[in-house]
Amino acid sequence: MKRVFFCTLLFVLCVSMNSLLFAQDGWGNLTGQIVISGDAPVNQPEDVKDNSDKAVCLIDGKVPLDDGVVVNDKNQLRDVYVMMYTGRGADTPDTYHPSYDAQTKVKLTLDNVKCRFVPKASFARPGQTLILKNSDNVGHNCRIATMEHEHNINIVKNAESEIVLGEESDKIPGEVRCDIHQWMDAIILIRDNPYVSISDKDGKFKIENIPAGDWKFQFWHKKGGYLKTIEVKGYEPDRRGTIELTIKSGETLELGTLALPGDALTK
Amino acid sequence: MVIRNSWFVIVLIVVMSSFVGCYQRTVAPALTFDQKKAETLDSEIKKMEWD
Amino acid sequence: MIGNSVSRLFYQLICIGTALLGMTGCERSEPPVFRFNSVEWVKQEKTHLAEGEHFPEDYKAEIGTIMTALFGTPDDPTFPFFLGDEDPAHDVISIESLRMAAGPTRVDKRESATGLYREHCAHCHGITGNGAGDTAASLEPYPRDFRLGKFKFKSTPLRSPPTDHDLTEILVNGIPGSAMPSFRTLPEDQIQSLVEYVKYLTMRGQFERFLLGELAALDGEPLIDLSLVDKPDGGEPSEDDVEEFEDQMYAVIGEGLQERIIARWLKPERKVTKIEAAPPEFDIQHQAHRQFVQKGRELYFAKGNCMQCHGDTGIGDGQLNNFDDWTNDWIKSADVDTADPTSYADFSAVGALPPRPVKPRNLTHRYYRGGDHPDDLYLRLRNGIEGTPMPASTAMTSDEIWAVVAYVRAMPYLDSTRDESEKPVNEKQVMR
Repeated sequence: MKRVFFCTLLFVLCVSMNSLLFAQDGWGNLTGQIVISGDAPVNQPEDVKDNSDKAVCLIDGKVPLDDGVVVNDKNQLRDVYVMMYTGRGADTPDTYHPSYDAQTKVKLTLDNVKCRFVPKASFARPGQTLILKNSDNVGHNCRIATMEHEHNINIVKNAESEIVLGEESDKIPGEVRCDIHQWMDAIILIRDNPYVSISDKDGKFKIENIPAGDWKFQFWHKKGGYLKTIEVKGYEPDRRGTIELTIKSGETLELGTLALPGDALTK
Repeated sequence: MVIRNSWFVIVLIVVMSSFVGCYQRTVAPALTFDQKKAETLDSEIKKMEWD
Repeated sequence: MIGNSVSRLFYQLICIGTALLGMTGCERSEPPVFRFNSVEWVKQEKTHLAEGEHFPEDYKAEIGTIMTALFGTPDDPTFPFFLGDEDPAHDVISIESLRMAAGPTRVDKRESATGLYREHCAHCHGITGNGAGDTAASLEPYPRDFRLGKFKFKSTPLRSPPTDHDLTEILVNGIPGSAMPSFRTLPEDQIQSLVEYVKYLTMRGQFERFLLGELAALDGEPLIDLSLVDKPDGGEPSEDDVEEFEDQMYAVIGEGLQERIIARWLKPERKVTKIEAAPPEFDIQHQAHRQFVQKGRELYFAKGNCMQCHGDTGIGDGQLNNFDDWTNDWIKSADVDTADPTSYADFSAVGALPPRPVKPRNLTHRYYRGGDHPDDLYLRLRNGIEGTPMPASTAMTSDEIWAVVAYVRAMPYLDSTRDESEKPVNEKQVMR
């Protein structure tokens, strides 16, 4: 009897802790999963040409395929930015959830592995420290060029450099490049509003602790720009790829499966 | 003959230079604007409180 | 005799032809109007719209109207001092300087000049500062397009504007190895007025690019809707209209120009990179100088990563297929293939110059575009060169940077003195 009571107590505690941690009063969450409908674009081999570092850059002795569109075997799409819209005419919250305070103090690593940026897509806050790492046995440079930020750092082989980002916020992601190996590219969004999620290898995204209220959210992918053709049940995205969602206190808004026609990813 | 040759050179220079002046590359189109609206906007900008 | 009359007829014909040509006249090579940034317009269309779709043409005139209200015209420039006499932007630009640099070229009775920009700069950099003056296409490198707000040779890091001193140095010394001459003979106030005019054209161009970037976010509505407060029937605007109008003004002009652009140009001196003193071995007469140069050479191949672009022997034969940011700005658009001019015909049609790869500097010549003082070279290595692939060397200590500077300065003289053991570690030999 005692045991049952204890288990129940533990269960209740867990449930309440969970809601305490993830969906507190006045805050809600957003989740979903992005899948390509129809055929995903076929990635072409990277344009390695006769680069003298070919030996280091090949993967299993072969020229790697471009990683512009990454899907798993179920056509679930990685690297889609799902973000609270902060562009023209946007209504945005005045304060963010305290759980995001620590985010700016974490050092974010951007690695170079076999002439490829890892991760491909990242999100950073202004003032955050970036560790530009190089796991390759050749030199790289890391060129970050967004609307508001610009860095071009030489990164020595098998070493790392640190940079501190400036205070400006971008509205859409910008690009990361290496001039020595020109096929290398990555994406980075640098902005203060922390309500951003990048879809993972299963196409899943989750944004936590959004203030309750009506907010516009935007879908963006490097190869598709604003995803205005994304299908979200019950919503009609506008030409900027935004939909307005109502976030309710203590609840998780589940958008379920979002289908994106493969021909949206041609840029 | 010498005089004639130098005349020829002078004429050639004049002709060539007139051609050089006419050579035009593609250039960006001019900025178009509405003078009256620009003045109205200018006065509105001056009226606003900036900080 | 016959030959004589034939040749006389020939001369007469040429003379008549010349006279006729003179009478028909040629259009002025560049009339004094600012040019629209059509390359950016085409680029934004390609980025945001489906093929064959265009932004409404009205936007061009609207952008022109906003630009003219804020910056005036080439003959009558103005600058938005939002806070009146108290505006800190007065430290960046003065109207007197702009008037001196703008307008048609002339000198009045008291010998005070106007039109300096058109006299000295416009034939290469263009009236608009778009780097597309009449001579531009035949110059290598192309003259600078100021509108991106990027400057290569400066004492501040990337994304920080140059100081007045940096710009003055360029005007006074010119840029060796390019068509940019020295204006050393001009009096100080004229140089200063040109420096400020370049900043004016830059901020103007930056703001125009910002406005064009905003177009994608509009859905047919204007950037700033003047009819909200300027009613066609002359009626009084409602409170809601005024509020809506002010919101638009703050978003477009307040945020877009005042905060994003002008505020960054205030006091660039606070961003200047400190140059650490060179160690004693840097002195060419120091007994350890030879070893110091050798250390620089090792860094050139290892930590500095210099040979990747400048080549093993420093003749600049490493990476040869990169482009600078002024070119990358539009060639990154979908379907542009720099090897195929038909793929970018729509950009050429609005004045984009044919893309040319950026050349890594040949270090065996003694020409350094950003100045040949050791401090100049130190800054190029420490901060990188804005707008080019040259990266900043944050990982190197100041002594290491000085060692690379010492090696680079020794390079033009090394080939003849180097013995066999000092040949490049990498065996790739260069014949050219």
